[in-house]
Amino acid sequence: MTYHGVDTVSVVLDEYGAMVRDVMADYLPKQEPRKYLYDPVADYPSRGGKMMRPSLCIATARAFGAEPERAVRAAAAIEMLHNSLLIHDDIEDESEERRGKPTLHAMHGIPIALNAGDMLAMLSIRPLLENVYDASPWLSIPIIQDMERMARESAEGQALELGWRRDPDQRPTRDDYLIMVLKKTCWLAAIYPCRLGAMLGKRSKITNDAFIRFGFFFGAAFQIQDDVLNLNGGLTYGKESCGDLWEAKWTLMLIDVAQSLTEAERPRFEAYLRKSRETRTEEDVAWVLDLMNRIGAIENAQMFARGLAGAALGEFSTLLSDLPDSRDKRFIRDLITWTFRRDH
Amino acid sequence: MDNPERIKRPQPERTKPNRNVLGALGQSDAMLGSLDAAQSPIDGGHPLGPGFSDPVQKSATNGNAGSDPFGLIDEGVRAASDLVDAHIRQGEETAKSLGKSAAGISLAQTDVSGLLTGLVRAYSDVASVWVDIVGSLAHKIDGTGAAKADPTQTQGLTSTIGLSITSAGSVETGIEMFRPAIDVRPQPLVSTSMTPPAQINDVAFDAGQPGTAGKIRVTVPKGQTPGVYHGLLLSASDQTPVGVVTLRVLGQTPQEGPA
Repeated sequence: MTYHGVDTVSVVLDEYGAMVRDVMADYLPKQEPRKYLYDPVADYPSRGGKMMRPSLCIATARAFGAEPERAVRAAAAIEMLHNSLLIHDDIEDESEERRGKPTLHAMHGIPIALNAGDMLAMLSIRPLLENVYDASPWLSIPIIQDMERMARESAEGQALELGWRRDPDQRPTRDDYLIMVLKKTCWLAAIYPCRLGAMLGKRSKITNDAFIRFGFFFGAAFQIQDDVLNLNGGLTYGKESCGDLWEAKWTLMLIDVAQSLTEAERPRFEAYLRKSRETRTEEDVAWVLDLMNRIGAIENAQMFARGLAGAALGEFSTLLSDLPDSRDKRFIRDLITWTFRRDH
Repeated sequence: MDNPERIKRPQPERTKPNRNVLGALGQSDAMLGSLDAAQSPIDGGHPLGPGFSDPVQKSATNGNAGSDPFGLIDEGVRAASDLVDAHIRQGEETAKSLGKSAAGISLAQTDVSGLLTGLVRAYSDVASVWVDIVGSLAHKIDGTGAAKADPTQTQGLTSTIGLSITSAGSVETGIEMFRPAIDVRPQPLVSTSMTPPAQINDVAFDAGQPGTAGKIRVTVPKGQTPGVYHGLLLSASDQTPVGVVTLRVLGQTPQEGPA
């Protein structure tokens, strides 16, 4: 049995990732103040990462007929914004590790990390603005407007999740979780990269809802698998293992647990939710993980993610059926299944 | 005694309900794309990759049968599909409430005029040149190389306006419409970047024939001071701004000689 998809995805991620890193380097200032600003700004982008978002943008642009050079600046903007949001997310989530190293705020403190995140977000606009000069006015304004929509959706999604943590009495449902993921993850991870790539490739407008369904199904499958990896990742995963449980982050698995508690278990679960990250113990985390395993929550989440991936494949077929076969088209399709094969 | 010619039913294509996740949305495995089967991500395996199996079958055999808290996975995906459709509708409603598309790329033609910003450079190396920019501007807007020469008019409102420039020298010019208007009144183009401010007064609007694009006609006098000039376009009905004309008078080039 051979796995062409795995090879295609790895090759394209490596190739497009390298292109994007080169372009990002041009937009990351190498000047003073370095120690407290530009070095921290360049930290997360230099740590690697999967480069899935920018690669998806470039591949979509190429599948629609664009030269990669045309999309690489836009792709760099996406990756820079993604990294800036990671800095903020890590602060908000009180995370300790990112891509195998301490988080930026753990290294430099929250004020410096926050400022670096702000700067990186601002810097991410520059490649897009330069794209605007090259694009037709018909196209450049929609590109910027789409970025505004993506940023708004992402912030709204983050607010939903932060609200759940702020108010431990809230009990989000699966649909609540999916809406949060749609906004927080899918827009930046898939919908915007695809829409941007399609606009650049077609050099014309696209419909208002294009790629939203595909991006949602794919992005949600990706996020759920990410949540699963967080529990199983161990040292191979970029974040600390079971970090979501330490943060009591609402995932499909935790929702599953909350809906399956016995009366005897409920008080301890309530107490677990109300604790701060610092006061949760290894016993707390192990107990919740055990609950998840006992009711099959992890397996159920994986099954659900696969269902979403199936829907994403269907959307892929609909969206790209008219395009000629190409490596980029295969990459987009194979990315869906790669979601379940990756270990980070 | 048995009849040797027993009637045999054909082998059924399937012996249980088809609850494959792809079928849930009216899809099939064949929808994995128009790519060659030999290039499938997994040769001969489940369409979603190695280790994948039908979720319904799996839940029935994993010892947790019936423990799926979300019901059949197919139902979950269907619910997710409804959810994203609602999100799309919500986005459209948000766009309406904001007065423009949230995504900004499926605007009605009348709204599109608000995005219309064209910058066209006109070169001249003769004493006087009359430059009709309508075609160029439309080409620029379309962005596909296929010029949209036809004007866009909705309920009598002009949403595309052409520019006609008469200039003795090189200029760059553009027009941006904030909203459609039936008739516009162009203001003189003024540059405040110099002292005293310079002006281009020969600016007029030609409404054209019904069904054709209106046109702003600007005549740049010989020897006009280089600089950037702006002039509002006012609605003829209520005198509110509906657009702006921007024109940059460039410095002389050697070929042009003294103005």
